Amino acid sequence: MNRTETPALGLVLFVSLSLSAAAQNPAETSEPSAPVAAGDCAAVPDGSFEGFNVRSEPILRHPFAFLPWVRRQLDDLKPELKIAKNRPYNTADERADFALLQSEFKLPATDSGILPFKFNALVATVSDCRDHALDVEYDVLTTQFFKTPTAEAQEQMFDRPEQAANVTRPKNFKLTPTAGYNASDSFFAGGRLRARLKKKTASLDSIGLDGAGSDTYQSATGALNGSFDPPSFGTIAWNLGYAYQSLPTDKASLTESRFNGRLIATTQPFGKSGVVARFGGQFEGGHLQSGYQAADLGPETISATAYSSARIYSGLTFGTKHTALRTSYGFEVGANGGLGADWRRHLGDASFDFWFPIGDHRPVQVETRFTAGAIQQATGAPVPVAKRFFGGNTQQSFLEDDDWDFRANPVIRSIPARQFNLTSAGAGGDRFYSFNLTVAPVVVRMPLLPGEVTNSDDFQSQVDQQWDFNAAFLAANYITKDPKYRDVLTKLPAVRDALTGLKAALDAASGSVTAANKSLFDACVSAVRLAGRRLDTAIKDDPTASADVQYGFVAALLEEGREKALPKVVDACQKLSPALKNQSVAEAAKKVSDAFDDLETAYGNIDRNGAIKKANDELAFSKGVFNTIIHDLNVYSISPVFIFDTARIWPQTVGGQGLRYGVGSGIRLTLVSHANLTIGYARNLNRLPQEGSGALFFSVSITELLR
Amino acid sequence: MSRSPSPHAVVPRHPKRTVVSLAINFELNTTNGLRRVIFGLEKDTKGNQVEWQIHFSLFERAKRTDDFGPAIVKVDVDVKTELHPNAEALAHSKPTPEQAGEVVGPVAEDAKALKAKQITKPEFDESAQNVLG
Repeated sequence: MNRTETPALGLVLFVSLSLSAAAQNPAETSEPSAPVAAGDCAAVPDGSFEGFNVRSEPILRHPFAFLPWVRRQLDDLKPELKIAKNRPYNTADERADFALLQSEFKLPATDSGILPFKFNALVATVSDCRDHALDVEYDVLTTQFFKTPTAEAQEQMFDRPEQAANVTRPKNFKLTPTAGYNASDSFFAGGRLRARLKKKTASLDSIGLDGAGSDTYQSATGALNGSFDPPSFGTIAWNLGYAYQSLPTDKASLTESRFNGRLIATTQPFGKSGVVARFGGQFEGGHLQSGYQAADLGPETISATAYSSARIYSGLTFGTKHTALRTSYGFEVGANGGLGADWRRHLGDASFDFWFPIGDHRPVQVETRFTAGAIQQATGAPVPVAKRFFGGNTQQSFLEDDDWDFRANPVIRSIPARQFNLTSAGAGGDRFYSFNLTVAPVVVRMPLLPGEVTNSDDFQSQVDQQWDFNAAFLAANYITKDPKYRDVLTKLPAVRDALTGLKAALDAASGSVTAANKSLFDACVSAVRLAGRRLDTAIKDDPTASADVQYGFVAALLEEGREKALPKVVDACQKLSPALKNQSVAEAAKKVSDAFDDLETAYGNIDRNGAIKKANDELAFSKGVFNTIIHDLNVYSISPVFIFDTARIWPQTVGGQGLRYGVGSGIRLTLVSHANLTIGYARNLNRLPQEGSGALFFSVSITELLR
Repeated sequence: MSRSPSPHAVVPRHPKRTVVSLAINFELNTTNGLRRVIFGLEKDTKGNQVEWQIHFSLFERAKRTDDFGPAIVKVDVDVKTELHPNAEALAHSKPTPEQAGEVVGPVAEDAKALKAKQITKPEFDESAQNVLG
């Protein structure tokens, strides 16, 4: 914790609050004490565990202890703990252990080039306080989230969970094996290589190579990736790449080989909902081939061709604490064999996800997604079959090999990949829509912070009070920056002169004080003395005092302050005047009252409410994120998953068989309430004779919890 | 974990844990990269007394390429309360900017004056009570 004082505002406040009211102490009231569980350490008199025998070695827990290096780190620390089995418990030992663990698991220094938020917590607990013995446990919790504001970028949490755990540092070279299964693609395996340049050259960030294959499916991409960050805009990323893929369908494969150049601009989030806008364009050219014969295709579709195309796309992502909305629109115009506009594709993709709690750290996640597309053709110009729409339980992206999750085909999880394609015009649809619903209630979870902490009213009270004070401190800072605040400061000398005059008048009148008016006289003198002290500091030209601290002394003089030093002077001395019957004191008190009125008028011209609102708005996001971490985050959770899908492609076959329904269930593992790994089976309710009864589905998605 | 049986008590399978120390650190860099909030809480229990140390810092910079300078607002608060089931029942109303200013101004100055024995404990208590009460 950085305790360095700053010139702007430094405060070390020591407040001792003793609850003296006897009614608050059960031991001093007639109310019976609540029964306590056997071994409940909270019931130990005076909360003192000194001398209790430590029954066993302290438990040292970390949610990512399954990672070998974290496990090793914990194992190395255990012998250094002062609290040990069969030794008397000692608060100093516990504090020493706590300090050791804090130094070991402190937040890493932030590199100004990255934008994560980080959170760590260390909790020491005692339990089972029976027979003058107890158990000790230390919980270490660390998390770190990723800088990119878009949802998709955060899916990498599954790739590198240790980054989320804040227990490693990013590497410049990353090789990730990949493997999976799909009924169309069979078992496939491959790898992903990312080499990040140590020093950015001409905005080039990294080189990526991906490859995967099975006996029916092949995919390979290579790309140079770069980016730059225009000030006050966001990020502009570029990509120059080559892609090859051969994707099996139920009858034949679709093969694409192309080069492309791509730009994607992503703005910084703006507004309370954190709206991020994305847009860009892509040029590409290559070959589209397929194993389809002419008999399998409609008259306006060709099996293979050289092609070129251009794409433009745009989208928005935003949300609230419990909701997330993503929309994308893309347009592609292409030509067979050269440049032109033989065909155009339009794609729209929208998802709306929300979650609501049904218990402590038990949210229900609901995800919906609607995607639609259409192809337009120039008169007499065919469209390559690989550009038609093939549906199934695997998503094809409009922006392949990019983080932007932009779906470009009908997804129905009850039909294997690309096998939903039969139309009256042969293989592949020229229009489609699909809708997907997923519901996942959490049933098993491990909260990030123990319930002993989050359910403690003491803890919550401290947190709430501190965030409120943070906002108030910030508002005070904004008030001192209000142009009208200077006018307030210019009124202070007049107040000082009036107070000085009143003090002199009181001194002169002290000889005429009687027993009847002494208490009123003393109250007036006391109020003048306090106001004088506050005013002296408020008006002092001290270059080392920050504006915020000086403001505190000004505030203490005002009606709006808590100390109300000047209102107390006016009140006490006006009460004194009729009793003292001293003209000089009465006139001096009147001058103080007038000067105070002037000061109040000047202070009233400050946009105080604006400062409060600005401060609250400024901290709302930070407070929301913190509260979400404290109250909602699970290290991991397991949920049953229920799904419903419907999709349709055109032109419909005879009998209207273009519409399909799928229902199914599965199971979801969620890491840090955020990254979801879902696997399940969906049944094809109205299948065609050649289709299977259903399909396994598998997906990785994210829940935008941290808004 | 050895558990010697007690003739008078039935021990729950998961005994209730009591927090004796707690430290939470939170750092957030706003999405435009221009502000950083650091918030920390530490709780320490010493017998009958609970001590809370609370830290808050806000940093600002004009451009993402600049370094964050010194904090524009930095607060370190040290609160001691008696360990008590009703400690959380402390009255809590939203503080005003003036109250916050008085905390960093007069109360902090009086706390220093108390430490230097320039004012008495009752005088400090009255000052603190005026602002915090």
